[in-house]
Amino acid sequence: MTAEPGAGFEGFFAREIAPWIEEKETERKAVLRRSLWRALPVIAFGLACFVASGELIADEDTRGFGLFASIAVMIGGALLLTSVLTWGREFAEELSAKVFGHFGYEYAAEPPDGFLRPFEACRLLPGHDRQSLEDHVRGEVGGVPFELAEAFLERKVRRDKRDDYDLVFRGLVARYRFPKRFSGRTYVLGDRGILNALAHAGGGSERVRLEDPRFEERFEVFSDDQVEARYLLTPAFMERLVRLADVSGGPMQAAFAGEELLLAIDGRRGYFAQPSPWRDLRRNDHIHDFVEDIAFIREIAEVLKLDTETRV
Amino acid sequence: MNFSVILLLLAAVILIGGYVWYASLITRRNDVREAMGSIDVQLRKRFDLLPNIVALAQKFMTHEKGLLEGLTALRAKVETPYAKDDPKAVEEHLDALRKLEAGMMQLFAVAENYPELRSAETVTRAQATFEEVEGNIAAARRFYNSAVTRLNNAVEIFPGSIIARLANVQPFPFYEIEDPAAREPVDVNKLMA
Repeated sequence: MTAEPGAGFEGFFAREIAPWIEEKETERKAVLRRSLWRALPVIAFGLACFVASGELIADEDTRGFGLFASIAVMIGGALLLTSVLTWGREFAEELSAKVFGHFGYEYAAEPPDGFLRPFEACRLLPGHDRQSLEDHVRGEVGGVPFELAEAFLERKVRRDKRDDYDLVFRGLVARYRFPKRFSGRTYVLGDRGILNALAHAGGGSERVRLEDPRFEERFEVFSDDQVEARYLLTPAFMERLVRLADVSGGPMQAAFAGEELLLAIDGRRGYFAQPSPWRDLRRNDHIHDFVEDIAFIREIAEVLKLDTETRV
Repeated sequence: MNFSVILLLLAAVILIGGYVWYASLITRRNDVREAMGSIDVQLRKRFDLLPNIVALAQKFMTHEKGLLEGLTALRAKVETPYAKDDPKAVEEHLDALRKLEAGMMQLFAVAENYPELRSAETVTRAQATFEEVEGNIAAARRFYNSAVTRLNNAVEIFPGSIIARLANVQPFPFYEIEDPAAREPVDVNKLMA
């Protein structure tokens, strides 16, 4: 059964999530205790060897080997703690599935292969060399099917004679079914001046100049069909996109392709915050942000009025 | 650098600048033609079923003969080829389109008084098509008006005004429907007068 954002959530949380978290907290403590019992002696042993190697071994080569071996032992001990992280990840996935389920959405820790492809094909995302995707959510808002995920994209740069990675996108990539039929492609890009024009040169898309000055200040539209672009971007829809850009808290780009509206929102923050397995799970302050992020999924569809079959 | 070289350079700059402006004027005029073409395409979808409706309506709407004849004449006028480069011809074409649209709306309004006609499939289909393409027509109209704005700015702002006169490029009319009279029921007989 679906619910309005927040509506009945507190009751649901108290009834189903809180007792479950209580059980999980006991489990977490046991996992943590077990891991620490295994890891701490190994780390302590490594540390002792390290100190002893430094103090007691006179021969330089042997001392070097001793220090190296001690560090390896300590790292080995620390690796024994990864079971806590694995447990934490599984817990977070289970919790996310329960919370999203309350809102009628399906959750998976990772999106299916090729999820980013349509966004890349529409050049909604900056060029990147490394990507990480998580929190795939699928469902319907007011009868409008949607699918989204959180994306983390980085570009390789050469810095001080070594490869480094710069963050170029951290936000949401979302696909909503659009209530109008269309056949071409229309891109709503952030205003990057000549760069957009160069990126779309020769691709069959042309700049579409629209009447709304606030919209034009923020976005540049390119399309392979001037009439269709205006059919999709009515004055009312342009206003809604500007409003969505205001609430999304970061640069936003969109494209109309297939039967969908694709959105890339570079909020420069993590969405759907997960609890840490190192601290008490009953301190659930992250849940509030989590629910707010879920409300944002609905807000997108509502602000854009995607559930309305509009002709004009 | 002597005076003649400066003059030569100046002439070259003026010549190149003038050509660029001329090319931009022609491009913009072609954009207007393209936009006008898209309006025609969309409106044709609206008016395609008109002959069938008129033929059907003649059976029921014996008192609306004037309206039906007026619509037939307006459609013929809209279908008549016109000079797309001539602002006056475009203005007349747009005017005929506006009148035909208003006439069709009047026909649908009058058809409400004839239940047999209102429920006829041809009429319901025509009415549905009429409304369905509303979004596309509004979009085509916005495209046209945007192209006209760009052309008219280039034609009317100096030195475009001089180059436009030499190239015989004139400002084009906008396709407005903001005239309140256009929103009121239209008497096709009066329009044809």
